[in-house]
Amino acid sequence: MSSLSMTSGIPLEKIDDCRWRIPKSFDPGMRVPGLILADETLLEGIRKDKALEQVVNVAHLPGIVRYSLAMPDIHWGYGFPIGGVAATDPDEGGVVTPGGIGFDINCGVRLVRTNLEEEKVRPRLKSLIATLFNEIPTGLGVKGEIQLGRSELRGVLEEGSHWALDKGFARPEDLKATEAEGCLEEARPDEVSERAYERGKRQLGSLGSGNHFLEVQKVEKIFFPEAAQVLHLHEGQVTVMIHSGSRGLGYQVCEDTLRVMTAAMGRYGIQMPDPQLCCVPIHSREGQSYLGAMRSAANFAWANRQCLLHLARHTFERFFKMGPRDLGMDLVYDVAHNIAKFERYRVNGKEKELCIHRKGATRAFGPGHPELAEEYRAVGQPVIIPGDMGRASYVLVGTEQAMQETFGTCCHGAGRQMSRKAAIRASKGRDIARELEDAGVVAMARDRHGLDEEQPQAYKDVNSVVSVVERAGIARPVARLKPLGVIKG
Amino acid sequence: MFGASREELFENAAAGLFSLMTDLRRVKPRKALHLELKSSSVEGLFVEWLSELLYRAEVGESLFSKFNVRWKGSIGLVAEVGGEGLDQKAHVLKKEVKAVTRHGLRVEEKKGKWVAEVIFDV
Repeated sequence: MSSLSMTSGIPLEKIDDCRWRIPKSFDPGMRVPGLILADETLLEGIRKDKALEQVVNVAHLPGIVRYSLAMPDIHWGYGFPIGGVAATDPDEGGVVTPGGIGFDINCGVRLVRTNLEEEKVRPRLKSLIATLFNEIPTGLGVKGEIQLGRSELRGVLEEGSHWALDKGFARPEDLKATEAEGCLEEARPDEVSERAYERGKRQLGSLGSGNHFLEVQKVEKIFFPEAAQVLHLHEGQVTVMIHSGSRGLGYQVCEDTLRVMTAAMGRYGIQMPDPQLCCVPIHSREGQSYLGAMRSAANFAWANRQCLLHLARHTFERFFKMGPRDLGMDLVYDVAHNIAKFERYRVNGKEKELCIHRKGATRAFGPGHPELAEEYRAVGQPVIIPGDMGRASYVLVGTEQAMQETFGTCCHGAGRQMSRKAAIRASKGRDIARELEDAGVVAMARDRHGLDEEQPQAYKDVNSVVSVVERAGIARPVARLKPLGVIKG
Repeated sequence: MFGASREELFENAAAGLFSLMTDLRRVKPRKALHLELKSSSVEGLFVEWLSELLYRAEVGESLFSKFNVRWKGSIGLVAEVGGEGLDQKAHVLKKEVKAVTRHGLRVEEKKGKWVAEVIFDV
């Protein structure tokens, strides 16, 4: 084992080509070591922001188990790094922290296959993207398609995608292809504030802004034919990817909780090095209240992505003048990448139920997991990894290694390598839409700087991130998807 | 963000927040909003103030451009805020600010001036 001294002063011990440890001895407040999954090239980038310091800070969480984990797409976040994972043990004083989930509760991504081939879509691509841009609500000040009264919204918070199914916005098979079938039990809509209700009632069925998008893609390469067959994916096939979350409702739940937990921490004798990492014991009144509200917001997000899929299906049907059966827009899978869930893992030879915080990290259950739909049980859970607008996105499947090592978790994307400000600076004198078009990608955004901020160079190379995931064995690539066109907020 | 006084810092911060979202010159103070807020710390009040404005703007489908802040009690404020309904045609809509974070938050008096550092989630 060799040791490297980093510029940030945080020592990293090399375990192998894809694993690095921050020893617990580095900081007296650390309860567990840090474990970073990255190769030397990615690590160079990771060292440039404060993500490693944040891995150290997360290791301070009371009740944290095994290590403070960082996925290869890790980058600086508010308090908790994006790409960070922490498991806490409720029976050992373990805490829940909204910082480990993020403002956008159940931000996530879904992948939809179609019966269309690239040759059919390419000649009408500009018109298709413009139509989607008009039909799918995106950006600042734009309301969702569905306006809800309070009791209806309560139904969404309780039932998630099941609410969408009842309203005719989903097909039964969509729910089977959604993490947790699009509904977390034990959601407590009474714990969601009036303010959150107010923000949510006009936002269902809207994409939002920032890095949220709807992308039309083609399957460029299949790496794992047996799994691709189970997922019904083949080269040249057109797919649609939707990235969105719980909108203002989830943000308000987080904001309300930060206020409550900041005030409550002292009562539980907890001190954290960053105010955004405020936390309380899982078994506390405040902890249970947050979990109930967080699950409600997660259900809202699943219903939101389901409504967005419903809108996309209708738009495609009208645009191509094809019926649902011929179009075949079936959901491959929907994953959450900002969430906390209770899952069972073996720790020190004992099976325990742990609270797994995934912030910018994706669940990646291996083959045979009882929570997976029967269709996917043999190959493992599909993991959807969006890259950037220019390069690629990936479909992978979870592995047993992930179950053993990373609490069934893998990365969530490429990970930013440029701040939004730096990306705008780097776009000066350039026309990003034109550059993308020259590369065969049609892009439309509401925000005039939207494409500048989200340009491909603002992100790490997703191919490098997925390569580390594969070499570390925590997920196995099934297919690479190439963007054809994208709409953004 | 700077201000000659705490009040001015809060006003400037609000104007800075909304200038990220729109061209303030095009937002007329047609509607008035009266706010009273208090907190247990200046930093807490700063976050409450900006978060309250974001919330009011979102649910009221409005934009704000005029801010008048008076200090009240030990850590509290009274504010008169001016703005108007959001109009997709009349207003230049820039970036959606989604939240005011507490990460790296700093509000302090330095050499006779009030200074704040805050990170917005966009």
